[in-house]
Amino acid sequence: MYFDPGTGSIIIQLILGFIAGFGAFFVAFRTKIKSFFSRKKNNKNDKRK
Amino acid sequence: MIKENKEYSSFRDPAGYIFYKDDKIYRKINKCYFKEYDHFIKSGLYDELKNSNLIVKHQEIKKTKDYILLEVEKIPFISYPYEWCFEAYKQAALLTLKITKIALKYGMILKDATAYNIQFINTNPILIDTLSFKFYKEEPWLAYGQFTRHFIAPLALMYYVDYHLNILLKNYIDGIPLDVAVNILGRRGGFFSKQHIKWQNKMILKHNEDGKTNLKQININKKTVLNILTMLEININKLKYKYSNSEWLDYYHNTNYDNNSSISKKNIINSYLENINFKREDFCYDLGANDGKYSRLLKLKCQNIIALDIDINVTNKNYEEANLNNEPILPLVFDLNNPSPSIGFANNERLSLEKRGKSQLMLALALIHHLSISNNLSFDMIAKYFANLTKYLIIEFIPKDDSQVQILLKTREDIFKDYNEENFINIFSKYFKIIKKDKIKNSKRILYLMVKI
Repeated sequence: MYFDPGTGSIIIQLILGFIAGFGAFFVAFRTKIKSFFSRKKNNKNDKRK
Repeated sequence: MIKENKEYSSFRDPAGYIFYKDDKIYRKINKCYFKEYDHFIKSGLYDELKNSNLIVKHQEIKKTKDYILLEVEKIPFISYPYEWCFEAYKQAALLTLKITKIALKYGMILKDATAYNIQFINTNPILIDTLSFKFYKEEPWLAYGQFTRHFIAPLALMYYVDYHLNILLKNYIDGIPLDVAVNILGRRGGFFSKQHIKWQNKMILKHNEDGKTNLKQININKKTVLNILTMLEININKLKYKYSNSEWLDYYHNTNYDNNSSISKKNIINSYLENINFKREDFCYDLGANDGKYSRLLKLKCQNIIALDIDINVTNKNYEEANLNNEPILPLVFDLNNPSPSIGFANNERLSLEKRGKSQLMLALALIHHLSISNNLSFDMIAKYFANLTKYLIIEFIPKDDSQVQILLKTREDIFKDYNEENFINIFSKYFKIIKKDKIKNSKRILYLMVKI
């Protein structure tokens, strides 16, 4: 085999990195929103006490 | 100077190699890997991996200016990816990703991601190659292509097409080529396979003659690599085994054992176990283990029970159960009528079962009729093969008038004139000494304890 499979496997990581980066951003964003609302809820609960 | 019995499959790595001496395993590290090894130890990476049981343990026993000598912990039984059930394969992949992430914390990364670097101690995967780490500079993960061939492609083919498809690795020793995986997957495989297998395959074909010129322009940093690793972990974790109806999944509900005979069989086996001594590193086979009902009888005596069965569903179920309960069992998928061959260069890299050492004890329960009657094997062929695999043997003889044998004979001409207990004893006695013999209550079946002559 004369061709080199390595280069393609490396270049693809640019695309995967972009998708994964977007995923990571989305997950972080979702966590922030969730924690924001749960904090609100907790505050409400606290007030009821 | 220690005379070295070198591990054949160590030839690929210039950093060092494994050799065996007096039943111990050593790793010799060459000078060219000293810097990496030094960082691996001093940075705390080895300690973190060792303390979490993620890597094989070692002890440094000698250091010269040319080499470092380690004594390495022995893995009781070596298994190969084409014998792993889906869940085990998944755990091996997840371990590889986990270790890569940990290594990045310490400024290193896995330079190889071959499935053969992962072994199992019971159901727990462990990395066995201490020399797999290299310094990480802000760059892509160079072993990603290998990780795809060794882990992503087999898992995707198993999950999306057929759970048997890791047997392709018996042919493709460096992982499943992505073009083969693409052809088998067709339109199947979801977004997971699209990204890692189909797109990567396209990229490989497109850039196959670029050489190193293009690589300098690729700007990938640690954060990107970590994101890719996390995405892979999430994707692989999502692949949950789907059980289908299989002949063997409900086996014990369909046999002719009543409760009494089942208890009697267990009691006899337990009494036989009293006659056998086990060392910590000894292993046992249970051939045709099914869900591991009888393998579990060995738990108190043997720390490494290798439960072999041809059925992928029961093996996967057995693995999940053993893993959940932390039992000393490693279930593997194995076809006794066509056992794993020795493969690799000169057929010497990955070994057939009989070359991987002898078990202290082997259970062959409710099995002989399948070998003799379904597969026409003579008692002599069976006894000879068993004698290559084990020292002690607990075997169940099932006479012809047993209802399960009658089921096998329903669709076959009865050409099995030699299938009787007298012949069984005569022929097995050529290879084994019969120590005990007991009839199972409420049944026509007979158990034997034998030891190899």
